[in-house]
Amino acid sequence: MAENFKTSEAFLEEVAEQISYRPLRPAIVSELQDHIEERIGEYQNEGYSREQAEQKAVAAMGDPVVIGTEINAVRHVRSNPVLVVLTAVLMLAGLAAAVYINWTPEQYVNGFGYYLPGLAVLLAASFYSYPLLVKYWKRMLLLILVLFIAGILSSLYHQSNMLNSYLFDRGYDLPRYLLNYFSWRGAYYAALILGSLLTVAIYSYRHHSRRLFFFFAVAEFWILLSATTGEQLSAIAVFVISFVGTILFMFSKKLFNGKFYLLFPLLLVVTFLSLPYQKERFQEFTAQQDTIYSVWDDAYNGVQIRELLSKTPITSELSLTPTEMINYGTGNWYFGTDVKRLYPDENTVTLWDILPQHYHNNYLLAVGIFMFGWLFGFLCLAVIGAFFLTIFRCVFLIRGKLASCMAFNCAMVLLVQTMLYIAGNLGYQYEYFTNLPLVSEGKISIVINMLLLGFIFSAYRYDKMIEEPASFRVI
Amino acid sequence: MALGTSMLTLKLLEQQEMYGYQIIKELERQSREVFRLQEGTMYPILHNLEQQGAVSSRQQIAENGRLRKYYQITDSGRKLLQAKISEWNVYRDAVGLVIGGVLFG
Repeated sequence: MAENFKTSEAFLEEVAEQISYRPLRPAIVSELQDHIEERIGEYQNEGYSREQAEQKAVAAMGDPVVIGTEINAVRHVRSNPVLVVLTAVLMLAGLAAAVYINWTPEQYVNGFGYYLPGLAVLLAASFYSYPLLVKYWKRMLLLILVLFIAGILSSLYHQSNMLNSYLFDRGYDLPRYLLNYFSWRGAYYAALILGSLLTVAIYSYRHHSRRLFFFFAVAEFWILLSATTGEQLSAIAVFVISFVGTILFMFSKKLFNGKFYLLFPLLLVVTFLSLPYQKERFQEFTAQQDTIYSVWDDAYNGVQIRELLSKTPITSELSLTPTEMINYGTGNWYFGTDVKRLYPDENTVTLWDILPQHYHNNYLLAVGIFMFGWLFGFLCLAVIGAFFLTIFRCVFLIRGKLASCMAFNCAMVLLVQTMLYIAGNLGYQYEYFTNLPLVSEGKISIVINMLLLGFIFSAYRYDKMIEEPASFRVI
Repeated sequence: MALGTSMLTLKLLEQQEMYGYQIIKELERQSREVFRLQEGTMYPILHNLEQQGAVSSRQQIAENGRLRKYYQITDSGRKLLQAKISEWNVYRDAVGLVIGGVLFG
């Protein structure tokens, strides 16, 4: 035997050592090992011993260092600096707005209390989430479902005041606060993440019709349960539009066998449109003036915003006389009588006193336009538009089918929230406000949206690195 | 040679989907043993083509029980192949012009 005889194990180990991303090594080794074993078999058929055949097969492969290095050069992590910059701009804008506007002390605390953990979640998700998601998606899906059910149950408890009263009576303020907050929006947070996990599930079982039906049924069940337990229609809208969009995206990639499966997204849409109060919500959306009963209605905010936007100049703030401001502030301009008490008088009233400002920072864009003019608003919309163009460009550049589908869903969730938020800020609000991801509004939703953005970053980053599990690729 | 090898690889995959070892064997057979590569060098080329979107892959359990990775040419890969063939024809004609071949016959 030659002195420099190298076993196939040693050869493969040397190739693997050149691959910097360790989780990729098994896939590379497996492929090369398959090659070597087949070559060994061929040499053995020609009459060589196993040892001689292995020696010849390994020698035929070439230099393991060169092979490993060249594969490593191809399979590297990547980033998108433009998206990083735009993300930073939006985050800083949101943080600045939260600190500057400061309508309530609570909101001031929220600025720091949720942006900093949100940033940590974004970074962690960008670096680690996609490999973990591919590996542990079943556990994560289960966790989200448990979170949702817990949110629903706590909401029911909260509504009946049983647990709330119990905690209040015993002075457990922190758990009570957490319960109240979680029960209010818990199902909403779960709805934001559910779509990406269901996308992984449906991709994984796209050729197993029974399991596919099951996960479509989970989506349907989710919509019905959310609606019957009082979850916001806008949250359900975010889920339905983004998830149906993702399924159609998967169809465009020819991932399903047959058009029969198109019935499922269609069923989700029909279910959503048939939900209770949907007709009233659309009426509020399209004909707000018919649904205004008091100055506190969101529909009134919409009408007032459109009225004020029509008077706002391009390059400067909205300019009103004190009398006009009092009229707008009291609701007199619309109702013909003062329906809201305004504490400042004509000598002290400012624009700030009449801006739509309840629900914290739900009207950041509208308020920005009133204070700085339409040009400022166009600039904000341009940044947001560039952000989403960059996100979707990233999504379409992702080669891996699973990664691109999951990232597409996350991008859609962010986009639909943004579209609804912008529509509300231009005077066309659909049901309750959604969030403007990274900017407003924010508590845990900031963190959840950071997580979704982190999923996209991660799927893009590891696109050239991660091999989809073989079970995902059944043909 | 990398350009030539990737062109030949795409040409073979245009005929049918194959795995790495199969490509090497087919390359040897169709070239009448002229192209005998160091076999491991095929894999950086395949991975590079995959990252470019010129080929896609799927895994399947082979008859020997091992997980085998099959490569297929994509629409983008077919366009790349045509571009490479055009480039190769220019190169071949240029060589012909210099050494005086059938072009002057």
